[in-house]
Amino acid sequence: MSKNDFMNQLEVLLRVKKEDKDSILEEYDSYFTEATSDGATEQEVVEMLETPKEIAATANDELGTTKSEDMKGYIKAQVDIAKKSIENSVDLIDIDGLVSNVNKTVSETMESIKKNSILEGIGEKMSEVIDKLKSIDYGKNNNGEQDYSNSKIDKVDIKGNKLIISINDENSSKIGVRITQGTEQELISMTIPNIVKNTFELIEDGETVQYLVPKTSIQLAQRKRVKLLIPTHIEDLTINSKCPLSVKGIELENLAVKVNNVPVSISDIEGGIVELNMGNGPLSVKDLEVDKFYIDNGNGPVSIKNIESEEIRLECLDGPISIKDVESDEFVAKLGSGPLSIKDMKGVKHSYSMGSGPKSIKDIDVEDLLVEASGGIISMRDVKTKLLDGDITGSVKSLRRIDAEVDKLRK
Amino acid sequence: MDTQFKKGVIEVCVLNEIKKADNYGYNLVKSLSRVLEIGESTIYTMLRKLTNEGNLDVYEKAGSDGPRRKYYTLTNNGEHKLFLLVNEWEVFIKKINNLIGGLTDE
Repeated sequence: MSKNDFMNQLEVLLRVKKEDKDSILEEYDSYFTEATSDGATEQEVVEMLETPKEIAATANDELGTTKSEDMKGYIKAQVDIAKKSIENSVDLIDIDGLVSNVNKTVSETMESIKKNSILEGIGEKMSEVIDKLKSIDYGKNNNGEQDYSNSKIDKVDIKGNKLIISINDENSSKIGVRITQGTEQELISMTIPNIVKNTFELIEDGETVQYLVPKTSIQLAQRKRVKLLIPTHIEDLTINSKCPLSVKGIELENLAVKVNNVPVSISDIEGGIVELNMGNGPLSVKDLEVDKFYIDNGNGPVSIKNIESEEIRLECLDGPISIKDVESDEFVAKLGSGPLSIKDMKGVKHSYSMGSGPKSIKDIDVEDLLVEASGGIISMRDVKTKLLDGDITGSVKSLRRIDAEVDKLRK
Repeated sequence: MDTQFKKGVIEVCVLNEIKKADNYGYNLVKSLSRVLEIGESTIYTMLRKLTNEGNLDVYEKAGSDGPRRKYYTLTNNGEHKLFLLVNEWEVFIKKINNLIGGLTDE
């Protein structure tokens, strides 16, 4: 305990006349001055003195007001101390600062994935593929636009170290695919199934592969980084990758990603169900407008930002986690320890279940909110809800501006 | 020792220590708390109580080697109180000695 904490606590605990209180505080203040000039450290002085509680008990007993007033005062003092120390410690830990560091780490990792991407060009090349696919006449839809929905890429898989693009078009026969690896333009091992036989040998001329095929499979060396940029509509995208992965700009029905211990960045996805099954490793998810969104993550930093969805389920083990700008009717988060920040949340029914470690919950506007915390420090600010429920008894708390019509939260 | 008894002892000791020479809180705590086996809060509280009762006066003085200090000095009241307490103490000790002596003689 610091001298300041000691003096603060003592001040709050002393329930005696003002002159007595001032005098005792002054004596203790000078005790610190004298003892430190005798060579003791502040900490040692605190240890040689009685505790503020003991001091106050002695003083209140001899000099204090009546017993019942004492008791009331004592209780109030205890509450004041608790509040003060919580506020101090919560502010001290600076959850927002911690979390912004987390965000920085995640975004730096993601930047480095992009920067070090050995297959930098693959996304653009894939776009070329898609563009060419688009140039094929699939017939018009009701709006007079090309209707890609029947006949186009219907599946892109990254399985292990293979990228598999399934193209559902048996009539087309001309498309070029070229993969750039790093700065060198070369073809990496690639098999393209024949339209008819469903198998096709790759022409390894280092240039263009001139076939349009129903299925494309690209071998990617393990641990290389993949950037997948497919600005089109895909029915079903399954990614089972051992490579660090960046998926961006897809409109799709279903996205399933299964990876193990590699950094993953998912952004700008519009569509149906997104399911991420991660090992450990940094995960950044940004700008999603989907029906349902599921994440199962191990340890490791997680940043989730700007998500709109009917239903979100999130299970993460330890590790810094930041969740921001989420609008979801139903939101269920089961999070482990480590610094957690949940901010700017909107929806109907949200449930945040958290482990120990510092937690910050801020700017929440949810009809039905359940908060569970199994220890550590929790800070809640600016929460607006009809029903607040849950249990945070095990945590050190700092609650400010909580507006709940019904408050059943066990503190 | 029970606390009431101890309080009486402390009161005498504090007054007597200040009678020897005007003294400040930190110094009184250092000289008395170890001998009497009491926490500093008891001494500070006692100083406050004795001041409230008019037995002690307080004045400030800058020490030659140290910071400005709050010194306690005995008032006339305090001197009288100390005299009475010392008397009481001596009578009390006599009685106790007789009692204990009587017991050990048996």
